[in-house]
Amino acid sequence: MIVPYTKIPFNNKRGYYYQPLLPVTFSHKGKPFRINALVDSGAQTTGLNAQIATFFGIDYRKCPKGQAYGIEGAGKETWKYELKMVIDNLPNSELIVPLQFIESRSVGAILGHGAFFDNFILTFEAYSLRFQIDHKPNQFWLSAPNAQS
Amino acid sequence: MQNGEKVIDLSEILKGLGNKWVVLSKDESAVLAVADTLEELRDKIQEGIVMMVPDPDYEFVPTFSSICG
Repeated sequence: MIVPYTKIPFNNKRGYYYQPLLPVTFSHKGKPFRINALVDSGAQTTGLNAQIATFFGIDYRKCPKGQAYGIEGAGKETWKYELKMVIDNLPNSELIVPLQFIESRSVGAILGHGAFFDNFILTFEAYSLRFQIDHKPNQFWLSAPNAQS
Repeated sequence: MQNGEKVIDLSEILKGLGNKWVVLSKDESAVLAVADTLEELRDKIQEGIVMMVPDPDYEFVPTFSSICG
């Protein structure tokens, strides 16, 4: 599936920049939450704003604690959880995503390594202002060459 | 979501909304609601797609890494 980049306002000379955003739907106990999530190949894990936990009625501060750090290097407290996630418009994309809730004024949803990058082929084509996301080849296909030798 | 070559242009409709939570219409052509917190958007969330608008004054370099513990 091809996903176009999203043009975001920015206070530079041209007035915008582009982000690889992916519409996904997290759900908890049958309650959906659809969000434009940033696909971040540099992120080690998936992070969600803690306000999303509150929306779901999750008392995230009682969850196992973790720590996250970003470019500034300072550790920030996080809370670990797992949620069901579906990629909009990509059939059979439902998976359980281990993630960390973070109290932040700048992070909405970041899709990083772990379950998300482990389960899909992601190809960034910034020069074309798009990226591609597809299912990874299944195990049978991967093992076929060995089976024939 | 728009599939294809054309970018999704939110550069006009999100102007002045940095660091806000917004609910976009399902076709992402309009902003249905804006707030500082998700709680304030509670009644609108199911009508569209949610997004936290990046701060327009700073480059967004979130790289999110975890320390297991």
